[in-house]
Amino acid sequence: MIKIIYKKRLFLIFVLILVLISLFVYGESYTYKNTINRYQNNSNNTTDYDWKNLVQQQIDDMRTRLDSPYIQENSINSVKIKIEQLEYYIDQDINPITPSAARFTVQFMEQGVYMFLPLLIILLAADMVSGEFSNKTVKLLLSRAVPRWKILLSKFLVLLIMTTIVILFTAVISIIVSKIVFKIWGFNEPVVTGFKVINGMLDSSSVIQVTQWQYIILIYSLGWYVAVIIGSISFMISVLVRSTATSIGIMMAAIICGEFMQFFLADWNLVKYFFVTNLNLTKYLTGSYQPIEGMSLVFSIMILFIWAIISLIISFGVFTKQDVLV
Amino acid sequence: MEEKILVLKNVKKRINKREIIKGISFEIEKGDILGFLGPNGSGKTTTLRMIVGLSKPTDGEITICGDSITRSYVKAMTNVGCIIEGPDLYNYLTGFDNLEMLGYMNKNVTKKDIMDSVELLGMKNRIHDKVNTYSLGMKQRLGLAQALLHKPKLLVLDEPTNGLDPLGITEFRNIIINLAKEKGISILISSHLISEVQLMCNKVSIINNGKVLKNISVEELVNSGEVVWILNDNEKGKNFLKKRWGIHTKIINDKLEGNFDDISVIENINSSIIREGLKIKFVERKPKTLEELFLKLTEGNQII
Ligand SMILES: Nc1ncnc2c1ncn2[C@@H]1O[C@H](COP(=O)(O)OP(=O)(O)OP(=O)(O)O)[C@@H](O)[C@H]1O
Ligand SMILES: [Mg+2]
Repeated sequence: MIKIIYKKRLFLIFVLILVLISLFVYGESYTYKNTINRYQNNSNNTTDYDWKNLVQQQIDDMRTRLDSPYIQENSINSVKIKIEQLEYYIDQDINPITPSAARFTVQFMEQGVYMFLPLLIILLAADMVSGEFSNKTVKLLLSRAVPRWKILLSKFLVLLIMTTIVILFTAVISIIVSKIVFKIWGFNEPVVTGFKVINGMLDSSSVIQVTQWQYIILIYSLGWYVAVIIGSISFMISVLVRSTATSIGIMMAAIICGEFMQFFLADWNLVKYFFVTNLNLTKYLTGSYQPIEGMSLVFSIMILFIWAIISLIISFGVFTKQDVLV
Repeated sequence: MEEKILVLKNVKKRINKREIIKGISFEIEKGDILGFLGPNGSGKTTTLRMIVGLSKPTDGEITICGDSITRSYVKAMTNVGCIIEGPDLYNYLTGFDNLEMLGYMNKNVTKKDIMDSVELLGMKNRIHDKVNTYSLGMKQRLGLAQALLHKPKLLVLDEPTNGLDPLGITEFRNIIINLAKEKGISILISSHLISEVQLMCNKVSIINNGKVLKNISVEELVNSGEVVWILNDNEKGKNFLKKRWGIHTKIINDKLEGNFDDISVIENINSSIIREGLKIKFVERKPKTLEELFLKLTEGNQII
């Protein structure tokens, strides 16, 4: 019952991913070179550089920032954690600066998970049902001897498959492109995660060390989860408004509004139940992230899950009942 | 007893509090071609949508081959193929891919079934081209192929000849008549073209404003008609016809006009007029066309 239809859209999305990743890789290598240049200028050391000194310099910079009276209240914790992390890296002899394919792949998803990835998924999902309405082919599907819920279910399965393909593709492309540029794999390097702030004190007891490739799988699983949730919500909008353009518009507006609300209405407690506020799952892994009081990784995962379930219930409820008048 | 393929019993549909279909009933038996005739906006498409499961009736009962579409939807729908409001298919796929994909949705549609319906409609040469390169006539045929894939017992077509040229219409009509004759498929065709219905159908159902005005077979229609006499004494003739045959006639100028459901009794009537001592100067039968019936039934009704 699974119906895979050749769509130009998927191809378009692949191209988008490729372009974006190439841009990011370029940007990454540019900043890297800049950092090194700055360091070399400062230390008058023109031939070689030692990453430990570089990291130490960064730590000192951050310390100065902490002492400054202008530092924002809510960024103190994250700066503290950052310092702690860097010191831990020096201790453990882990190089956190030189870009590698693995590190870039992680960073790309970390950056993409709350904006770029949702937008891609919206492009895919918004069309799933409304596309059939706008080219009037729903009536071919719905006048067959197949119950409507099965038709919608197969649509949803196709969406899941496409989402998975997009995530895998993002991973593969960013690994390949960044390997070409940075020439370092770095999959077995350790990653340190799990720092926590408890009552303003840094707690490193729960720190865990994993290898980069394990971390990539973790990050991309979270990315996949976010993508599926966004997919389900767009799917519902697509069923409700029956117009591809409108559903893309609504979802984009929701995402952008959500980002704004997170910054400007963070005091308003309801905001944390909005799905957009909860998209940045990967950031929780750094330890210091808490956009609004009371939010945590588990909390966000639960909220997103509830949003998706409700969306699917509404989608199926509406789709099986509605009259098709095209 | 003949097999009832489609039965509508007092079907009603309300959209946004406005009753669009106000109780429609008719039946189709095996091999019937029913013309569903009505002016624009009379509710043809709305009714057909309910029959093929695209929308649900607010009231009443629709059964296809004995299965109610509300209670055993899947079973009822296995016996229906349809084109509603134009043949919209996936434009970016080839004709064959369209059929194959839709074929998956029905059980037991094999590649051979697909090729059979392609061949039946004479589209073998173009079937592997993309649908957006097809002419309207080709699309219409592909639409029909799609509707016939799973060998339904009932074919529901909504204004299928819209936009076809005269040659296309003739071809289409022949295909339809063949399907009914050779495969015993019952066909429901909506149309507002009276001539078309008259040429294809053996039954007609005329609707307007969401109500059935008349269910009639084309045979009955041909047999009914209007007769015009000119007698030497029209007044006396009028009284005589009323008394002896119970027929109401009107005197218009020098003519006496009357309506008959079955025109074959006219011989006996004429003999009796002569026996009565009247003289017939002239008698003429005006066969009632579907067009006249249609206009008479729908006249004065505003299109909403
Ligand atoms: N979605 C809708 N909402 C409200 N009214 C509707 C809707 N769809 C159809 N109607 C009304 O229902 C009536 C019947 O429409 P329908 O499309 O069934 O007519 P039709 O007989 O197929 O006409 P045509 O010959 O023009 O195709 C019309 O008066 C139309 O205005
Ligand atoms: Mg219509």
